[in-house]
Amino acid sequence: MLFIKFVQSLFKALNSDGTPGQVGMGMALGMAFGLTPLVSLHNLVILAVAMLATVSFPGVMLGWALAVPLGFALDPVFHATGMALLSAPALTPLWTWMTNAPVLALLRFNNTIVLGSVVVWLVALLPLALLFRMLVARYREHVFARLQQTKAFQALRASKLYTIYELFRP
Amino acid sequence: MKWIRWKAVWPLSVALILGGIAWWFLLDPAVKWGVEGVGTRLVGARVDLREADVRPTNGVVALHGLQVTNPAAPMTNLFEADDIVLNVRMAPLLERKVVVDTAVIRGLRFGTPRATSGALPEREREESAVMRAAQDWVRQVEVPPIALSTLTQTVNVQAIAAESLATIRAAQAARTYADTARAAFQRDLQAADPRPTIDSASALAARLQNASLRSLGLGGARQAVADVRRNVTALTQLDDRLRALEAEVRGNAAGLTERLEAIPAARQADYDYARGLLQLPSLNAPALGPQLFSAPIAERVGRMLHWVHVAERYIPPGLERRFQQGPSRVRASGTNVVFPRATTWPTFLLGLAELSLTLGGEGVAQGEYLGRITGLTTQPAVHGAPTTFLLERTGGRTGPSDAGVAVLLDHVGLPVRDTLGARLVGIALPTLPLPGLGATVALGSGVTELALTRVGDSVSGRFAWQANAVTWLRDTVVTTTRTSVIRAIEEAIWRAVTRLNAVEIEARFAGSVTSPRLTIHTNIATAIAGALREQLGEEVRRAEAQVRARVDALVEDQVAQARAEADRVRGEALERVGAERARLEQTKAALEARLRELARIPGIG
Repeated sequence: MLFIKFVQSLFKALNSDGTPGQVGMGMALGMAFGLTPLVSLHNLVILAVAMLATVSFPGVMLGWALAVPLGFALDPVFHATGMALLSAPALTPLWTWMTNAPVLALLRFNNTIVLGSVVVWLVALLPLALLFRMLVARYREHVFARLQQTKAFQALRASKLYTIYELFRP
Repeated sequence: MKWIRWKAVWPLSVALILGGIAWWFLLDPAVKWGVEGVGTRLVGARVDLREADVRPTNGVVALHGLQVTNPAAPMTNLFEADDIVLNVRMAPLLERKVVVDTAVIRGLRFGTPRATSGALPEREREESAVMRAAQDWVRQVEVPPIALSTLTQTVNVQAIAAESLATIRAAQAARTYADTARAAFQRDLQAADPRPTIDSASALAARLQNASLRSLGLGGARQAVADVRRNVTALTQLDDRLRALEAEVRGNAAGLTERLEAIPAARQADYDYARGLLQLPSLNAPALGPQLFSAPIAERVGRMLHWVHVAERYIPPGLERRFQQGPSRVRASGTNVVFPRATTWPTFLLGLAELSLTLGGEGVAQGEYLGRITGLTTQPAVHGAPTTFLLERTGGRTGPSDAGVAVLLDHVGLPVRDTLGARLVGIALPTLPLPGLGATVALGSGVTELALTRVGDSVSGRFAWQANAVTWLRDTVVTTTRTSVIRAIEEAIWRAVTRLNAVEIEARFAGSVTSPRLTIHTNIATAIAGALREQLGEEVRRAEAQVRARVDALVEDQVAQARAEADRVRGEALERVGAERARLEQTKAALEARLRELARIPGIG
């Protein structure tokens, strides 16, 4: 009972923010979970940021879901990026320090896929957030109003699935 | 607009605490999987651990029921340990480094049987590149056994083809070298162009032959002295060029001689090749040794080389950046790049491990042993000291009377140096068939000695068995196709070997670490060679003479042509340079004589 209450309060807290900007940033943050290897220390940090910042947590989940297949497809790009960075002589002192520093070493940035995917995600973070904000705003302005009129949507509204969809409404 | 979702702080804190508790409970299986995964990759065969017990608060990790499969025999464990207790430093774990101060290993047993195969599926056998190198070497050095059946066959020397003979290739190489040397000499001589300079100097010398102050006049004499000096300088410079050309010619002549000298060795190789092609048995003990025991000995030496390769791969020297395959996961593994730093901990270090083991029962290795490992690390340059391993027997009723193993792996810097020494006295030795000879020797108990030294890319070593009370067994399967001659030979061999009570088999290997040469000496080979000589000496010698005659006939022309060509090129070049230099010296001497005479004239010198 206590656990259910805890989960309820967690979701209530997380779903309390839903402007296009918050959804867009949530989605961009959530893409880290799909683009980079999931069980990594940096993802714990990103999860904490996603939970503490007033970004849309459903957006985070959606971003994650969208990015999973992308992550698999882009692994060769991440490997090449990571290898280029880790092989760059100018950066060797930085990697030597990082991979031998307490806690930082646990980030496993000496792995080409981890480093490459994190760097690609970081570079894409702001452009993705802006893009998603624009798409969400346009969806709410143009698509949602028309969608409400359809019978299918009204039928869906009566079902339990709508409670999930509600997470995305304006 | 607020940026922080404060009401999420406490649920997040609770989630983190719950995560921490889950991590605490999952630590044991995580360590178990880690040991199994890393061990499997390291050994190239399955490593199983029954359970791990991690106590982070006092830095103790206990591993129970460790089984390490022998990669060469997947139904046998290389070793098995009941309990391993490790004292692990906690701080280096934050750097993803495992530093074990001390380790105590109990209940260690070697060569125990496994309930299931420990072989890896094909797709997981990434380690096998290291093992393949050793297996390739084993296949490479294995020599076909003695085939007595070939003794009674007619020797078909026509099977020896000219194109497969190394002598012809060596002769052709010598001729090609001679042609190249001749072309180079002619080109260089033409470039040096000695004739115009010498002719001009000769003409001047002739012109001044009877010249005097009266005939030349003062101005003419001064001009003549200047001309003589200029010509002498030109001749000196030309002489330098001719000397350089002569040195080059002599160098080429030496190269040519070297190639000609390689021809007899190639011919000897061709004799051996032709003998092998016709499967003529050798009557020499050194050649018979590998035919008798190359398979079992190469397999054992191959195993030692495998561990040398493993040490090379997992204990690399220096502080250079290294690339390793990333961890196995659903996503791509990627590559881990390791950046060693001298001033910190190595990624793995076992400071000191003591193993006390008692091998029970009445087995051949029964007794008590004490082992000690120091400085086992994946980054010896960071640790700064070599890895050592010592094992000695401390007691026991039966089993080996003396056993000692000492290993030192010095990979701190280049070149890497590995040494291994082992001596086991009173241990059971194997039973070895004598392939192709219808007999088997059971060595019983005796002495096994191992020695290996690796420095950089070179390796050398010795592997020896000594037994003083061997048992000879005769194969009971009778082949009906055996002729009376072969039966007689087998009888002779049987009589010769059964006279031996003490047997020594010694293998030595030396050369590059990937493909050392293997030689095998044994008194069994000496006895067999004696018996074969007694029975077959004349026939084999006759067949050998036929083989040699055939090889000689095939190569003689080519060799003669190569020698003649080489002699011609050498002679022509040296003669021509010598002649030009002699003419030059003569002209120069004449000019210098005239110069001395003219220089005596007052107002000229």
